[in-house]
Amino acid sequence: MKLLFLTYQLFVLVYFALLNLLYALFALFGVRMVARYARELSELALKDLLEREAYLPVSILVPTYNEEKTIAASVRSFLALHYPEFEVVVVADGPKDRTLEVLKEAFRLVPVEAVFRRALPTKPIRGVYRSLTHPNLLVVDKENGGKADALNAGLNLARYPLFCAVDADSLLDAQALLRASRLFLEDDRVLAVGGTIRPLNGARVREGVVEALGLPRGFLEKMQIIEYARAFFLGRAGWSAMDALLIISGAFGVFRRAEALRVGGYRTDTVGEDMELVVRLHRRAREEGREYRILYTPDPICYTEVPSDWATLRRQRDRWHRGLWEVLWIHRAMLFNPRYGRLGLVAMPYFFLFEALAPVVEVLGYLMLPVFHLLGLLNLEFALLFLLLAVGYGVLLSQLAVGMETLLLKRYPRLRDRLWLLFLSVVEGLGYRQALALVRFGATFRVWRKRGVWGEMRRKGLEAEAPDQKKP
Amino acid sequence: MWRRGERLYALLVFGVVALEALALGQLVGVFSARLFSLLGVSLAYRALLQALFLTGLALVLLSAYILLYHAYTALREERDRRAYEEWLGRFARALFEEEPLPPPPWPRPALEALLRLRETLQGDLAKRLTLWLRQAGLPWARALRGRWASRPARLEALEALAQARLPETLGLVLPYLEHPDPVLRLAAARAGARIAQGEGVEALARALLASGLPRGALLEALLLLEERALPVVALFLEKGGREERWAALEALGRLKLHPLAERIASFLEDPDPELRAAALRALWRLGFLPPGLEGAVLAHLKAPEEFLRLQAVRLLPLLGGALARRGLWGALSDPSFYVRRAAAEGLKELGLEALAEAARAHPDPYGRAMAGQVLREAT
Repeated sequence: MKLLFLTYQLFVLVYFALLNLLYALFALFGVRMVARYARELSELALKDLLEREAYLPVSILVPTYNEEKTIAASVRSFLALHYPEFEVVVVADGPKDRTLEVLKEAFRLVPVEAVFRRALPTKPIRGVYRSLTHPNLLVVDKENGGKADALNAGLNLARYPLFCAVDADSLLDAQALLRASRLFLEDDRVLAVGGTIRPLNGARVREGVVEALGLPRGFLEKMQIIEYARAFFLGRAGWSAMDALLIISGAFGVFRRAEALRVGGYRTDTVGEDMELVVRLHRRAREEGREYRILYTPDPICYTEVPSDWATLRRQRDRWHRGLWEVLWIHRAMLFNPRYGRLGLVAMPYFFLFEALAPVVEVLGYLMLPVFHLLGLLNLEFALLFLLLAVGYGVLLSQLAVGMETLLLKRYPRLRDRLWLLFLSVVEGLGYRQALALVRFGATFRVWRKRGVWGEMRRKGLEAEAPDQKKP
Repeated sequence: MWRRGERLYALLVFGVVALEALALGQLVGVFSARLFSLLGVSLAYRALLQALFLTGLALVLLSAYILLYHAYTALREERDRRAYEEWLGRFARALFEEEPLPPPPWPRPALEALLRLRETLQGDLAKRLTLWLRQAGLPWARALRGRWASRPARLEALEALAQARLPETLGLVLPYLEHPDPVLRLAAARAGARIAQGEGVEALARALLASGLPRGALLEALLLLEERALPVVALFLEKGGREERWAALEALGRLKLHPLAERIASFLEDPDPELRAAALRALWRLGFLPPGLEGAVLAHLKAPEEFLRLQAVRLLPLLGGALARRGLWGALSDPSFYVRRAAAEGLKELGLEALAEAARAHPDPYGRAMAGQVLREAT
């Protein structure tokens, strides 16, 4: 029994060591990637790009469901982007609230008879509307079919060579599109570009534009600032630096439309449709032996409203984790398959072993503690020290991400906020992260039962002011 | 946007990662030995405490760096911003109120202000700014000539020279078009395109031809050249490979380089369909079809590639009269949605009457629907 206990201990330790070393490696790659990006980004080149019309036009696809509170501000922010040629295609996916009515009133929509190419099958379209005030706005009303179905409907109606998929509760930085689309122009091999997502909660927003970022009041919202920084500045930057980026967030991603259509658009039978499309693009290109690139670029910033209550956060994380499992299952042929290079041998196994299975290992670890204690095998002091070490490593990773944000963008300009962020990275490891691990643990066992099922998000609205940044 | 200090941070991250690897490696080693009863509990305990200590140390170092860095850069940026604004005001007063300037050398914020003004102002004011930039001595030249300058320093120098637009600095930029680093090559192409004047344009053309840059980057450089692009485009069309020719054809249309219109003809029979499409697109952008090319355009209506048929259909209105109408009417039956759309828009250019007739009487129901859609949008 003691040998079994020691073997288990060693297994947990090796898993823990590998996981943390991988994270540390991402931090190294991430710093390199982010630093290089920031140094190479030329504001002058962006200005020239804009003035000389050397850009590729973009269709912004906005799938929306029950978002009556946020939709008008979001669409206004998309229409106000600094980009010479773009259209906004809002797809109302059979909302039950007043989303469509709000859009009709805010943008003076009139019905049009649209002829479009049905390249991707979708649920029936009930109507297409154009705006009398904004000629580049198109609104599609369709039967409910889920986010992926709505995006496919948007893809059918989009006109331009690039499309940008965004969430309806998101706001884009004014130059986000320009910075992302530059990469497509400069390199024909680029199939998709993902940007950084930042929590919008606590920001001061006016007319759909983020004027200043501040820390939100809510504990959960604050925690998510740390999580997002870690996910983007370490995870995605690291994977992108290794040419193995598997996720482009559904909240902001720019794709070549022809490539997305060629692989069949978004899959509607998964809640991880954003990751699935990226994995499929990788897979198809690798199978065809084509040279291609899928990139993360740190600066195109998208702000999104993050859940402020536990129930919504739990539903969101449950969905994310189920989505991850679904994608891994759909593309299981890639796992440990050398045909797919570092994707098959590194990225997919990582997501399987250290993302999908991580909550199982973590929660089982917590559950085993009292069992081993009852069996008299546990050295309590030793176990607590190990737990402290695990928390310490988690804090370290979060602080590395906060450090990266400080160097790159410093979007939280006040020293007090920075101090808070460092403090919160410590607090995060003392309960918050464990609670989310429990949610993801549960999600692992709900994958088959709840396949393709979304949860509803509760919205507060985008024009909320930063609590301690009142307008004069 | 990006502040200095990332090297120190990278070093710190490397140190943290090394500490972490060391601690974790030791822990795994000790626990493995414990499994085979090679070590006692006290050693494992000590290894754990050491790992904890190292993690704590890393955390303290990192937090301290982040906070000190934040505070320091906030102060420094504020100081630099003030200096920059002061110099901007001083140069503006010198330009508009003839206030005398202190003699060079000027500090870095002054040079940044000068470059900003050079970027904004034109005409006689720009000439005076150019004179001041020459007097300032362009400290960036050193970074480009030096062997040991970092890549960011070289990129910064190339961008500064691009903003200064001093023709005599082209010689510093051109060697970078042969640089093994593609990022520096791209920056040099942009800078060269902004700087080159007179004979310099031809030197730039030769350097761009040999640069091996991708077509998007070449197109960007050609568009930056604007009215000076003609000899470069001509050279690309004559001696370039696939990438250069594609970029030249794109630029030719976008910059409306009519003197080169006749040169497009030969590309309509190129074996590469992408070059043929670029040639058709260039003619469409020029809005001019040289005589004798009608047959080549019509032949492309039957091309197997959708994008070639699309470009050919867009050119049809230039044929005029019955020929154009017949071609567009036929293209409304094309299996491609996009070709039908282009055909309907072409009919609109010929007149709403033609479009209305297609919407009413075209034999293909998809063609009719498309014509109807464009007609509704037009009215």
